[in-house]
Amino acid sequence: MLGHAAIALLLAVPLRGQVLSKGTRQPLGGAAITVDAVPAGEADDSGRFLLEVESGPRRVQVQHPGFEPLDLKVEAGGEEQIFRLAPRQTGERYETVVTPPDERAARTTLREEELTRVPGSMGDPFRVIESLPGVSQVLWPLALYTIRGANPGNTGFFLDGVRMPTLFHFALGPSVIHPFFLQEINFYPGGYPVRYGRYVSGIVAAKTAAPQVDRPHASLDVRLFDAGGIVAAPFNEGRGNIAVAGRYSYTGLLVSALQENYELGYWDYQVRAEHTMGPGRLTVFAFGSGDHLGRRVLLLSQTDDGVTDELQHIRLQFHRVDVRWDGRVLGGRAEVGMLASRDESSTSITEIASRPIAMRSVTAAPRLSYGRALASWADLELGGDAEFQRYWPTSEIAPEMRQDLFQNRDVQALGGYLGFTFRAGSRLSLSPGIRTDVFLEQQAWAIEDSPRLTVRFRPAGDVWLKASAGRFAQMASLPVAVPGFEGFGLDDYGTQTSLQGSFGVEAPLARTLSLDATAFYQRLHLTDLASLFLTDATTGPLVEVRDGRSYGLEVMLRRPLGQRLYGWLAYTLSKSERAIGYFRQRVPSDWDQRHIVNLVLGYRLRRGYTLGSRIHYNTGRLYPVFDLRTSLVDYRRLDPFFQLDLRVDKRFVFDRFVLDAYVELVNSTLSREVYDLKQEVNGTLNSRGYRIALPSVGVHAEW
Amino acid sequence: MSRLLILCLAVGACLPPELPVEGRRLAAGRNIDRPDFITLGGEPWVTYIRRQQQPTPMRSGTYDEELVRWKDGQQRTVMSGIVDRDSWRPRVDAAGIRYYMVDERLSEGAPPAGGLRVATLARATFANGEVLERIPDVLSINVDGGLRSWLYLAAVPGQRLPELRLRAVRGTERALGPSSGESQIVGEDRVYFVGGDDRMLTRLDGAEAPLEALRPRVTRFLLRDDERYAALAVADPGQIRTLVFNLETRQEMRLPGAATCCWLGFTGADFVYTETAVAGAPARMHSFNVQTGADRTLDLPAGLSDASSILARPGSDRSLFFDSHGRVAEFRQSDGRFRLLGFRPVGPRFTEDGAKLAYIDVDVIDPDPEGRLMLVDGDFDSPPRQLSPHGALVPQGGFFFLGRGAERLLVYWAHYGRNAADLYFGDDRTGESRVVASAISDVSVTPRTVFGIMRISGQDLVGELVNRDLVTGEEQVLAHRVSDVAVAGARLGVVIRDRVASSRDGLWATCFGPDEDSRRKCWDTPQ
Repeated sequence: MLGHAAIALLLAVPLRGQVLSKGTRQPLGGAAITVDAVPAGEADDSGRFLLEVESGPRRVQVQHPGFEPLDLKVEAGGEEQIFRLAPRQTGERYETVVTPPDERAARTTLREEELTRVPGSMGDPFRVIESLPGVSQVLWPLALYTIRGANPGNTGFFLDGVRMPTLFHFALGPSVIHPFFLQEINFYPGGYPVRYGRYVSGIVAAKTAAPQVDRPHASLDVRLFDAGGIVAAPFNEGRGNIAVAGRYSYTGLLVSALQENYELGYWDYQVRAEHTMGPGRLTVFAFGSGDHLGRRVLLLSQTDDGVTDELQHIRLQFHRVDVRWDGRVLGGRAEVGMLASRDESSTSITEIASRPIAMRSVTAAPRLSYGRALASWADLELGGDAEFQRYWPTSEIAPEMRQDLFQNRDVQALGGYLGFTFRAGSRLSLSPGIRTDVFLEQQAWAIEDSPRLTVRFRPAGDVWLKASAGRFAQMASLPVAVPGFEGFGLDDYGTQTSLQGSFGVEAPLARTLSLDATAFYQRLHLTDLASLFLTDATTGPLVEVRDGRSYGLEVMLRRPLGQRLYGWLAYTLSKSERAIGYFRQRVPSDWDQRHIVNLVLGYRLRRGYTLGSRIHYNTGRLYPVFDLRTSLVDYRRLDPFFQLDLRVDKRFVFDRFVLDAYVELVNSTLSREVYDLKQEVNGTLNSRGYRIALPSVGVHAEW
Repeated sequence: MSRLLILCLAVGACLPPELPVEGRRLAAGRNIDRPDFITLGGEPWVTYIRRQQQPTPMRSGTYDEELVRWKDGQQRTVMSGIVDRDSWRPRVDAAGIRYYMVDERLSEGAPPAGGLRVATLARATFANGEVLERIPDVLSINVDGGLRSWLYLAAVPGQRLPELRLRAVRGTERALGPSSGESQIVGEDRVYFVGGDDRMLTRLDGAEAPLEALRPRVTRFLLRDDERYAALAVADPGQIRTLVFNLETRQEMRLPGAATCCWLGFTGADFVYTETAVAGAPARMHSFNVQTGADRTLDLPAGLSDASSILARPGSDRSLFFDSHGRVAEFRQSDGRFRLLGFRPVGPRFTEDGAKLAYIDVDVIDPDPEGRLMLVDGDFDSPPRQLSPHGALVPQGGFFFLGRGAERLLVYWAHYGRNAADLYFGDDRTGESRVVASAISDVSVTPRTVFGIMRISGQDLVGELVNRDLVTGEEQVLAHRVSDVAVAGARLGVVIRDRVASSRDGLWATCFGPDEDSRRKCWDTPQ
């Protein structure tokens, strides 16, 4: 006689299913399956499961962190069922992005909605950094940032380890990488790891997202001023994948409609393909960007009484191709890569250059890195990189009057680094490292050693004390990075250097609130802008070498993404000084903003709505005021700038695709950004500024 | 000490120490400007102004004028609260008395009689600042006369036009009536002015003499040096015309020509003027003999709308005629022929031998004309060539010839964009130029030296005071962060101005010379 169990076994039929995320169709591996209230198993990595259940209608419940549970009656024994779980859109999210503390350097990591839904960023991940501690926005809405009192050109931008000449289009300042191409941004305000080099201020390092490999995916986004998309597909049975992204701006049409004498436009593209190769992956990443600003001006004719019109322009373009292999070697992780690039910039706008200038450059940059754990208490990181650059400037400047920036020249930079991380239990870690760079330009050369040390100590609970110190070096640079206009003046100016030190604490204040406070001190040796009044790059040295220092305190209170209310409060108190002139008088630098406050908040409502706001406040920079009456210059602070950005996001989840829409109003209070002060003869202090509010409407579809 | 240094290096906290100024500070402050040397009682003093109140849209700024003795720094305030307006700059008469405008205010009454900006005129001696007299409600002053008297305009309550007054230095005054136009003081106390509602040209032949009404409805006048004739622009009913007026007989001579344009002035017995070109008739230059009435004319070439100025070429019979639009034609006296030139020179200057003409080809009009410095052969047989570097702008008047013959240099200053100007020495024979000082402010030049403020900071607009030997290439930096300088022999009054207030701000005394001995003497010896 058969027992109940044996009868049940005899009557068992297969129950096949696949658990997918509703909308994105992403397989949900690990989803818990319950049949008739009895736990029955989990989905595998492809979201599939196969269970033996009694035939007939069964009640199947599927659960996965971050998704609404699904409760269905299904007929067992039939074909494979698809279970689509809707992402949880309200309330606290189960999943919290946990960023392990980086033992090698203090950083701030941004992911997911923190990247694309921060008000004021117009959906642009890189612009989120302007809301982080230590960052001053120089002239909103231009994407010009100074970090800890250095110059904007002293901050490095890296994408997948590849140095970028610039991160932002100059028109409205969106980044040159499609927003949804990015996975993560790491912001190092100082003391960055040894694998990065040749910048004396902070580093912004972004990682691109590896495309999903289960099937083709695509996303399309349309904003008020540009449109872009990304398509990703697997090939060779999932061993490889390729993603293509691009963006085109029609800002020019808007601008031309509003102001017929101006033309404006930008574009960018990215192609990324990877395939397994041996114990690792081979990745080819090509990307590029172009910007164009045209201005039609009337000129007096020299030969008759009439006038002629001329189109003055700025054009910036760069193209990068990076080939790399990374994988496991000798028990560690190795990466070898080669970058080839071509940059082109030109301008005929007379405020920038009294004569038309153009610059073309090519770069070849090999690199090699290796890291492995030496023991449970020690890690090793070593590598080297090089840049071989050739510049071909074109200008009407007489050869004998050309400064180095306008000479044909070859520039080489070679770097090697070695770093360790030592751990003493779970309370202490030390990360010493050294990087040495060799710079060669024309007949000049320089060797710069950059030792660095990061220490983390946990005195109690989750409270971490952190400290870092290091030396950093960079070739002379323009105050603002422009593709092609770099790698100059080694003989004239030497190298830029910084000595950086910081000390801070990370502590949880409550279950969902964390505090990060850091005090910093930097000694700087920089190529500063010689004068804020002078911008003509062709008329003589634009920069001069100055010593300086900056110090301050950065505080960040953060409520992580997993909460219904998430965001952060960032406050920076800083002082940036330069020693100027023969007397080396210590004065506030041109970038000295004493107080910067950013309050960024997101709040998830029901039905997929998210409300966001950003409140920004910064005190004004010290600015030279030319007195027309006395022809003397005195210094005054520019007006403080207050900015309120508002944003509403709505997510629509369909079975096979997701639609995100947002409405954003940046600078909703129409605050005035003042950029110039002048003392008139009658004593009136005239401030020049503008009031701009940037409305933005965007739609993003992903399937 | 070494441990301190190591500590400094470790924390990066120590910037290099401040360096002293070589010299002695005479006056402290950031509001010091316009230094100058004077001699009082046989001793050198330095004058300067100290700015006090900032201007407002309703009121000009004010400053004090101060003196400091070179040898011991003894300070003295000459006048306080001087109104800082260009048109009211202090004047000095032939006797060395200073005229200051202080206590700016609006005149009483409703416009146009009231509401004018007036000030109190204070006459003071410079040596001790003694105020000789104060006169309220003054609009403007004219001290061009001699030692005996001076003119000023004053607002009078209830009177639409300001009153012109002739005041003797001893304090007596003669009211000349309402002023409605120009006034001119000639000799010690003869005055010509346009007064009253009928714009009467009036003459006062001496302080005690009666007023002589000469001619009504005069809008402009030009006296011949001997005061026997005057050219007048008159606005008679229905017509505006130019005539020559005999100041003795009061006879009027109407000038030939329909559209009188430009007065080129009296030359001997002739009054020279031009007539504007009109449809079908060229511009014409007239030389009208005021004694005989004879009129000699010269037709100007088509292309010139008039002739507003004439530049003679040295060593030849040729001259250049410029019209009011900047067009130019060469005139040859020998055959009376014109040749229209295809360029528009601004501020032209011939070399002393007439071989070359340098001028500015204007690229930028606003706010002040500036452009390329051009050179052309005096014969105008070859096209002009550019001497200043490509893209550099030379201001109008920004060049001169230094030296003669083979030693001749063309000195000019030019700037790029908003940069400070660089000083160049050009060679008009080879067309080559070289920079002899960069980013200059006030400099003085000889063929072998440049002395003055140079290497101006593009942002702070202060520079270094440098004495540079152009032959040896050596230079002596005398002071840093200098905003202004006064020079008297080996003595220097230097205004130093840091970016933010410092203990160095102020007026400094320093000496320069070829050796230590000469520099030491400069502190003691009157010069």
